[in-house]
Amino acid sequence: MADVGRHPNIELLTLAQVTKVSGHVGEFRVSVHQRARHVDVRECTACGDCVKVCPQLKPDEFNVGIAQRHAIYQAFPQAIPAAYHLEVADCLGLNPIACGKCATACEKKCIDLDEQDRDLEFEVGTIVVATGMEAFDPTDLKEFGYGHYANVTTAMEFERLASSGGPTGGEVLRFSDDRRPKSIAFIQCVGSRCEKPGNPYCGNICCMNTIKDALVLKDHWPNIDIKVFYIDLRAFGKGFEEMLKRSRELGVRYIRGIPGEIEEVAATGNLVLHVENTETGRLEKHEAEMVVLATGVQPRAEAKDLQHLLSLQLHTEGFLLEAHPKLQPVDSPIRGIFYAGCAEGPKDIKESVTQASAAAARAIRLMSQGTIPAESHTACIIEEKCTSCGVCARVCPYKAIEWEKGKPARVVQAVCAGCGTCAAECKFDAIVAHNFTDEQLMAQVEAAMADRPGQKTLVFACNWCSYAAGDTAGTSRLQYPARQALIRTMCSGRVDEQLILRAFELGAPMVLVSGCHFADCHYIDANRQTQKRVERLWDKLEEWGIRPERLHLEWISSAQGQRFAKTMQEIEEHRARVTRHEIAETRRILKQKRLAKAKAKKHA
Amino acid sequence: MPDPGTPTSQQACFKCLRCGGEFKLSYTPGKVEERSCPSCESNSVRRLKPAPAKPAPPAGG
Repeated sequence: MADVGRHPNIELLTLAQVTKVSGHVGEFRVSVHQRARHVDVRECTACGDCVKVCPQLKPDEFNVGIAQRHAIYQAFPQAIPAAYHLEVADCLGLNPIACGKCATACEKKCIDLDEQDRDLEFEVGTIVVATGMEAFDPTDLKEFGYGHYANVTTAMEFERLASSGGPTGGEVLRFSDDRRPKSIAFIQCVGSRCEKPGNPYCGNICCMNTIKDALVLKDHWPNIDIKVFYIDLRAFGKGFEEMLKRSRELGVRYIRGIPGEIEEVAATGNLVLHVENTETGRLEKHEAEMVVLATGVQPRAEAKDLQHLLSLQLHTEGFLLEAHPKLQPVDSPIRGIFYAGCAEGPKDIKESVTQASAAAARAIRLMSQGTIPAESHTACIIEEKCTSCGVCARVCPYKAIEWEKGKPARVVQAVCAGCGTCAAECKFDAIVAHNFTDEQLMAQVEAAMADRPGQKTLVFACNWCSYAAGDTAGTSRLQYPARQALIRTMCSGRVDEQLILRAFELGAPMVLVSGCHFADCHYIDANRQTQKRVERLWDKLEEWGIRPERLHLEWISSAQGQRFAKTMQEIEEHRARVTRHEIAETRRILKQKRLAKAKAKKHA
Repeated sequence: MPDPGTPTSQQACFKCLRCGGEFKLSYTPGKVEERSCPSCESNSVRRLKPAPAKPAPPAGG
């Protein structure tokens, strides 16, 4: 932290919030709102004279509310910059000045009560998102009595109690009587691996944090009785299993089972835990003088705002989604934006540092190039055809299309990733997706349907997932009827309604549109547009007297070779049931529709 | 309390175009979600729109 504060090439903006991000890799424009600190950081020596005279006391956020701070304070002892900060919301008032004692007490006169908030703008080449996570609040889990029983605490509160820099100077004391407990029970997976209330995923850090706490306690007070209630212990990682083993050797007891209820003994403030020991199958009661809930972690409440601000995508768990979980774990789907730490998922300090180093290296690598090659299959607008309707800009997952009413849209080539969704959604054929143009794709459809179309299913497969799933099925030697004509697009979002209708008009009994699962979409969320389009088309087909069952939609990931083969097998069964008469009737209807549309266009 | 401007999820009838099965799933108007048939796991799942209400019969005999 201190190195960051001193580095000549790093500008540290504290009390600041990013309010707007526009532009693209190499040229991001970032707007920042910075709240007034009311203290000159260059002059303040953090002597503490101002704090001594401040009459206002508030819960201390750093100590998770178990201690108090003044309205003028330093967030935590190692905070950078090492200067105080006057929190206006907690102060008696600055307009008019109601107190002003801090300014009077400051000998160096570095407190400026008139300082105003600032709005700043920056141009940056890359962005690293390191917004962290927050701890789960167990108040709603009534069975554990948090907030109800004084001696039930969370892992974060315990961390501050056990810290030598904490409010008790490292003395672990009970909240009910300020006495050191002789027995402590830790309960694992509080708010983790459970649906309601809580989060379905593993918190990742809680097991090792509890083992660490148990070792610290045993180191300080060897006779303390420690019990850990768990579902299963996840001590993976270098040296972690050894820590678990050492804690067992020091007498920490691990009991498999999560207490279903905690009761307080009114006379002593002790807690009785009712638990089913799943190893013995017996119901047990355990008494402890203090209970620590190993609460899980969850995405920050602001994650959604950040997602919208940067046009990112969220995982189903609410953390930011990476470009690829294995091959690009620190890249976001937007070029030039990288992740570090728990914003991307729960992780411990070591993993966070590793990811941060990787993110910094990725950013340096990109910026040191000086130039950035654009994708080869980006979209571009045919200005003469553009009606300025704005649909392309609305559906673009990357916000790569600049649009203003009355003017032709413009694709920013450095931002466009080439999904082709805009080209598929443009009703005026005003967008060309390079290498996947309407003409090229239509020619593929016509070639595929040129010979015995009634015997084929036309499959549109996205490059990254379903086309790769076909490869997986092939290399795995999975058997399925070879009656498909496959057309590859970069994204299922490129599959234009006209391509599907043309395939039916040329005699295709069945058409399948396939792409990545929603969480895997390589173009942020372009496949949502695919689903919307297919849903609209089902309605349209039904309205025209064509069975919607002849158009299928499937999400198949690259590893799902089995699913690909099964899908082809089942669609083939559907294809075999489509009669010649039905195909002929479909062709007649669609030809009629096409000619009517062409006639209307000519008259317009 | 949900935001009054946010559409709330409701149960809606869906039909699987692969196996023909009909089932109920939660549905939020305007929200695009990945859905699959609980029976055959196909994603060709189409929401069945409720039939329009029949006009009231004319009064009298």
